Amino acid sequence: MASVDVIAATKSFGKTPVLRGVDLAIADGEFLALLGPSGCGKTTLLRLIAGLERLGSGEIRIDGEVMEGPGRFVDPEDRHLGMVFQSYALWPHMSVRRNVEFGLAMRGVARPERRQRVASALAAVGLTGLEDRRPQALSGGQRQRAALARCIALSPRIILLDEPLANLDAHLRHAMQQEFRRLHRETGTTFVFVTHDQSEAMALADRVAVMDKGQLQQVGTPEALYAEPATAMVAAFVGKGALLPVAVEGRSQGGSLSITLAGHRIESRGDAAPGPGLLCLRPDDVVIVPANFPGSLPARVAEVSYRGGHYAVDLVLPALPGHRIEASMRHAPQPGEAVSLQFEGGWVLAAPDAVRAEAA
Amino acid sequence: MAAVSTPRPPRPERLRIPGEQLLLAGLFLYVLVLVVLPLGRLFIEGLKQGEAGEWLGVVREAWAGRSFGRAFWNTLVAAGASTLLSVVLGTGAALLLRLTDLPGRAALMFLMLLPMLIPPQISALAWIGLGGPSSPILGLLGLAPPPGTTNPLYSMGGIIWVMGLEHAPLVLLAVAAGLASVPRDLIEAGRIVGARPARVVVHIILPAIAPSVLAGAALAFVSAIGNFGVPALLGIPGRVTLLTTLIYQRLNGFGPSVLGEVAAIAFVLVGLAIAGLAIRTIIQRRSGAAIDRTGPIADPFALGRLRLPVGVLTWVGVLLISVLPLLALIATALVPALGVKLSLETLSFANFAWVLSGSAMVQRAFVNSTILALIASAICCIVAVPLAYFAVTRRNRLAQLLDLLSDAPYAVPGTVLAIGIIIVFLPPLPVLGFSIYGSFAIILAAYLSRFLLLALRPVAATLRTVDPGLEEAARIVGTPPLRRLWHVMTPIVLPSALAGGLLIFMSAFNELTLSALLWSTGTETLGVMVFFLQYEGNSPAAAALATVITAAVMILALIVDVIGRRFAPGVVPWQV
Ligand SMILES: Nc1ncnc2c1ncn2[C@@H]1O[C@H](COP(=O)(O)OP(=O)(O)OP(=O)(O)O)[C@@H](O)[C@H]1O
Ligand SMILES: [Mg+2]
Repeated sequence: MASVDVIAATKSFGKTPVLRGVDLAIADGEFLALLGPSGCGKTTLLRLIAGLERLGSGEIRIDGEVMEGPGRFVDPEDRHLGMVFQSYALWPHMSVRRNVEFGLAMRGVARPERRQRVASALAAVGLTGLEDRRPQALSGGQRQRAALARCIALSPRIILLDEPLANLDAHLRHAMQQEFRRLHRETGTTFVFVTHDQSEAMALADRVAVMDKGQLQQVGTPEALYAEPATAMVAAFVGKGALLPVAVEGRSQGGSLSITLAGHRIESRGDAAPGPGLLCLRPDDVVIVPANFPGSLPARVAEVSYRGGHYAVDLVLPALPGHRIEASMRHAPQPGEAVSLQFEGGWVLAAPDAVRAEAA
Repeated sequence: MAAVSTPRPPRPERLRIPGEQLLLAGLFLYVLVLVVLPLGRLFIEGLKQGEAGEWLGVVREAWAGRSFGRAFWNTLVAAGASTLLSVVLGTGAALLLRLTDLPGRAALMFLMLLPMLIPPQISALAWIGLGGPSSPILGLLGLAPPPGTTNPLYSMGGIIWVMGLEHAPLVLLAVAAGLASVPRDLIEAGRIVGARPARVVVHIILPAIAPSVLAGAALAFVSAIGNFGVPALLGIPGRVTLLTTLIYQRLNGFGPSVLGEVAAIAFVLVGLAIAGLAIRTIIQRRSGAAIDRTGPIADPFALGRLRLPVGVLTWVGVLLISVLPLLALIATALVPALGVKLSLETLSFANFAWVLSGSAMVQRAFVNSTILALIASAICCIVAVPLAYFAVTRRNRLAQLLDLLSDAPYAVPGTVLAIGIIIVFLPPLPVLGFSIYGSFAIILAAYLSRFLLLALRPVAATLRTVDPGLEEAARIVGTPPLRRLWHVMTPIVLPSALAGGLLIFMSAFNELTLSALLWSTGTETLGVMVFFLQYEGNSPAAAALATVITAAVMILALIVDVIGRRFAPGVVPWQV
């Protein structure tokens, strides 16, 4: 159990910057998911915490103690962390038991205690009975469990997981997600979990840190990320939000924002100064009403697909060419049909500089 | 439905055009006469009945002799111990060069692989020059053995030492390749659970590369079994006879009348070589599935405070074993006469002048070796391209069999092949009615047999990576097969064939094992020349000639290296 502080961390491979000033505080006992598109630097950040890569500049602390910083570097073997690799990285020449036991032996745990801790770690992941198998003779899910057992047997203060479920099928992935939650609950260890699957991050984590292009975009609870995305990237990446250009008029008395969307005035929640902004709309923020309904925005149905229980309706706005909005309906409209939209909810954020410049 | 377009091997195409069948028949004849007959006849000869008509008499007689028993035992000891030395040096070097941040690793790698480029007899000569009582370098340091004593390298220990160094690069290359395929994750997972680098090496890396070490060891063992140059230069004066030198001495002393007996001795060499290669094949089969290559290779371990001392130690060690003997060779060549102390006043280029222009025999050897190497590499390339094309691209069964058979003359010790060649070419040729024994042609025949593989492998490897669509596209537009071979495939394989040809030239240019048994007056090769100059006691001249040969080979190696890197990656044996 331990906290992690990443302070102004930068890292480049050759001339390519991979992390550009990352600040991240992970609390003791927290389950944090690192979420972001492929190549954004998640693995690099995780490996920096583990001590498998060296920082360009900045500092990394564990439990307040400096692990890496100016003039100081603690080797990975002295950081007392656990790590589960995407490839599982089980040693092929050792049995499952030896794989789990090896770390204990390296840490100088006496033989009788070793036996007992191996047994309980294997029991915790449900691998009892497979001790003498070689990793090659295990299924994907069993390898995953063996890797996890190897990690928890050492009772590390932090467990780092790099897309540990990426190689498993959907069903197994779901089962293992619950396993991770349970282990987190039972051990109380700090978990740092890398994934590029937003639904996995939301389902598992206490807090999610969203990364893009080597920078942290937002760190918050899954609910906050979904309801109040801080940047356009987060809005688009989490929960498939549609982003529409709006003009922010000002804050009304109830605390909500007044905005105009294609000349249409609406009230919405948000965090943006007057001027150009972006309205993030999720499918459940959009209500479809009959065409020309008073106080509504005209739209046309582009595509309809059945999603089991409801229809996902793709809409285009004649007033805003090039933008699409997704809504959900219980009955299927006809493609090409003219409808009108009303909005309940949504989140307004300040437009990125590029959009601002365009508007000016 | 969209058509699935996975690349698939082309369907074997029937051979129709007579020109093509003619070409294949020619290839068949080549392999039959130069590969199948020599090795096949060797067995028949060795398995003959004895003089009294007893079953397997020749073998029984040959194997019963005291000298055979001693040579057999010596061979086992020399090969076993030198393999051990090669494994220790090769594995240690691979670990240091591939896993640590030692300074100057690329240069160290080159120096460690240097012995591969230097033929065994020249290595032996260099070490003789370095370690003997008249050693110019030890002399300068006052460390030379007292004059009059025998050179300590003329002994079993000397043979083991020089062969061990000579074959260490084989292990180094095998282990380096093995290390490159250890996934980085496995190493990092070890460090995360608390294993320090030394323990990661012992518990994780070594078990993972054990198959590569064993495979390299098997290769070193097979090379040691077949080595002739080292036991010839160190063992004959030291009265330590190995099987290869026993065969040489018998044939040299008694001529073709003992062919049956030496063939029987050769069986043992073949048996040992096959055992070594079989072990290697089994290991490679077994370990193929164990480790799947994923992701990037591991970052080197930082040596930290040890970097300087370990670096200095490694550099000194490598310079001592790779460079110092060569310096001794050059120094020996610069001494005016054996026994004269080398100094600025005594230094003389007379030996170089003599080997380059003072001796008709040496000059003849230069011409002979150059012409032999040129013809052998040209013919091997010309044969390798169609053979590989038929075997790989066209998947012709006969060609595939011929391709497989071409391995044999390179896998068996050169001494064995030479005996087979003598057996086949000693009697007068059919139709022509004369024998090529004792002529230039018999050495060429041996080279054509032994070195075909060096051109065939790279060409076949390149063809294997060629998209079958290329061949099929040409086929669809109606290009006849021989034209496809000439216009489509030949340009593609040209760089590989060229690299292979240069390798053959290098190998043939300073070859000793085959020509030592096949030469006669007028057909001396450079390898034979070095051997005899040394044998006659003219070490300075032998050293000068060896220096010139080595320089020539180095320049060739540089050319091969550039061609390999530019045009035919994965073809040149020392590039990793
Ligand atoms: N050893 C390396 N050398 C050079 N560039 C690297 C190296 N490792 C990573 N990179 C680059 O750094 C960037 C971030 O890599 P990283 O592995 O951290 O991404 P990631 O977010 O984990 O992506 P993914 O989801 O695909 O695993 C990528 O653009 C990658 O190409
Ligand atoms: Mg990654």
